[in-house]
Amino acid sequence: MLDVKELRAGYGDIEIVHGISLKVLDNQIVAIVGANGAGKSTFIKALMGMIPVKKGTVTFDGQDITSLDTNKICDHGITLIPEGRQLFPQMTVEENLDIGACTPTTRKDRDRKKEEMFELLPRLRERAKQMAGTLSGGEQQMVATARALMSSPKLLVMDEPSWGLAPILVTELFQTIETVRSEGTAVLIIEQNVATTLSIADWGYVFENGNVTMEGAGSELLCDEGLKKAFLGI
Amino acid sequence: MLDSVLLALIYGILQGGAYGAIALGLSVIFGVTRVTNFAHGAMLMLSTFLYYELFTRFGIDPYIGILLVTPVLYLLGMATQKFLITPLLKKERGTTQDPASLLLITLGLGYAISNLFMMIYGSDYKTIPTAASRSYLTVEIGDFLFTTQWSRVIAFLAAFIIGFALWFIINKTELGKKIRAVSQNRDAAAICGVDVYKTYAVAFGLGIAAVAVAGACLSEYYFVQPQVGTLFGTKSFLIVVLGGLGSIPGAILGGLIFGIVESVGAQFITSSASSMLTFILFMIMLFIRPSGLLGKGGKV
Ligand SMILES: Nc1ncnc2c1ncn2[C@@H]1O[C@H](COP(=O)(O)OP(=O)(O)OP(=O)(O)O)[C@@H](O)[C@H]1O
Ligand SMILES: [Mg+2]
Repeated sequence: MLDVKELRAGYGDIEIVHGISLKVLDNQIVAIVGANGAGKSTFIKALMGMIPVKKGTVTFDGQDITSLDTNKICDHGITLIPEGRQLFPQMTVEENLDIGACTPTTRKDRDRKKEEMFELLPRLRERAKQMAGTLSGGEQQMVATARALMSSPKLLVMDEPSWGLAPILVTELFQTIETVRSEGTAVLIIEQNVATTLSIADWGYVFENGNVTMEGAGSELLCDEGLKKAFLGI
Repeated sequence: MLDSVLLALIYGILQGGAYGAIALGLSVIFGVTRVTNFAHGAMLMLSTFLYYELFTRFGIDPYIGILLVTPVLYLLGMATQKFLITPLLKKERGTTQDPASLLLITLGLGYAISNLFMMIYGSDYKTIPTAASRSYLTVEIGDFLFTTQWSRVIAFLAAFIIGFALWFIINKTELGKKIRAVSQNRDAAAICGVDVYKTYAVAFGLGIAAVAVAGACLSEYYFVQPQVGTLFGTKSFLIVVLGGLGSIPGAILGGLIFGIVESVGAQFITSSASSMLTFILFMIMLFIRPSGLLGKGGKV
């Protein structure tokens, strides 16, 4: 479904991502792991059209979406939960969700999707009228997740969703991710919780200095000695 | 003495309302797009000339002319964003800092408009002798007598009407939801499917439409002249910083304070010195409260 070929991107003249190829197949959970500064978020930003793609192509469901405006990429059915959540702090939880489905096509389903999100994450119903900026970190993550799901994406991209969450909430988060997948949405996830992520991932990529140094089935990567040393501390 | 100060206070409040009405659009544009529109005054001036032409050629009162001029200026605002500012923003996408070229482009546009009007109309001061400019409101309480043109009273009220309209659009409509989202976090709005550049264009259009309404009220009592724009543009900028960038009530409050300081100040010192007072006020504000009186960090 998502097919990235030899993608190069960076900031200004500095190239950070040096030709990364990556695939996500229908209904898969695909993980990206790598040290801080490896270029994971930069790769995602280029994929989502938030920074220009210098070289390479991004194909989604057979269509070339390289360097489209971000909102156009979203129209194709990819949404992102960005690093640090990026909510609209002075808008209510409900308004944040509304913005998640604000194009002419997605808006028709808005009320139904909102109800669905309140079922999936009941905490949000209680907080519906509260300003998003005043929520706890865990609640903010729920809003970010729900907002990204409001448009019924085919692919959900998550950049470090567990950042700043208590262990119990991380467990809940991973349950949510599996629910999302079981309902037919593919997931591309960047995570620091390498072990947990690889254990639910169908496929994983290891990024190092803007390159893919290793890829394989989640369970295989989990057993890899080099990776264990680098990330799992065992 | 007391009477003259009281009179100055009332005049100041009325003029302050007009300042606020003019500044509102500038504030909204900044709050959404982060662009300081240095062509704001020039666009105000442009609108007053359109009202002037409508009046002298067709006898259309500026208050009625609003119906024609505002849509035109809305489109002009949209076009400014779409054809001048957005291309620059796109070019700078993926670099960290906002380009200085943004600032220069609106400044350049402002000069271009002013000079164009100077070429066409020269520097003569024109007035539009409308009904409202020739009818007077008189208030008499005992010895105290206050009289002013109705058009000034209307300009004062316009601040609240324009302010309410903008507030309503931004806070109570679907379009406003998008405008607020873009204002609060442009990248996040884009990943939600909001067309950020289109929203910028709409916000810019709204801001300029607002100044066109203010322009009608102004032209009902003030000169129509190419350099008028610069004067009000500069004041609007100071007012918006004073009241809080992006804040709608802030623009009105800032305008009122400005009007009062200018007018009451002129009772004690010369009027040019009193307009310097407003600059001093502005600078003090920058030091003690850079976000302005009612600012929310530059967001609408
Ligand atoms: N806006 C920016 N402008 C310039 N350089 C940037 C910018 N954002 C990131 N970088 C640089 O790009 C490199 C890769 O950053 P990136 O955020 O992609 O890493 P990451 O793999 O997501 O790391 P982390 O795990 O810490 O989130 C870093 O060296 C960083 O300093
Ligand atoms: Mg990152």
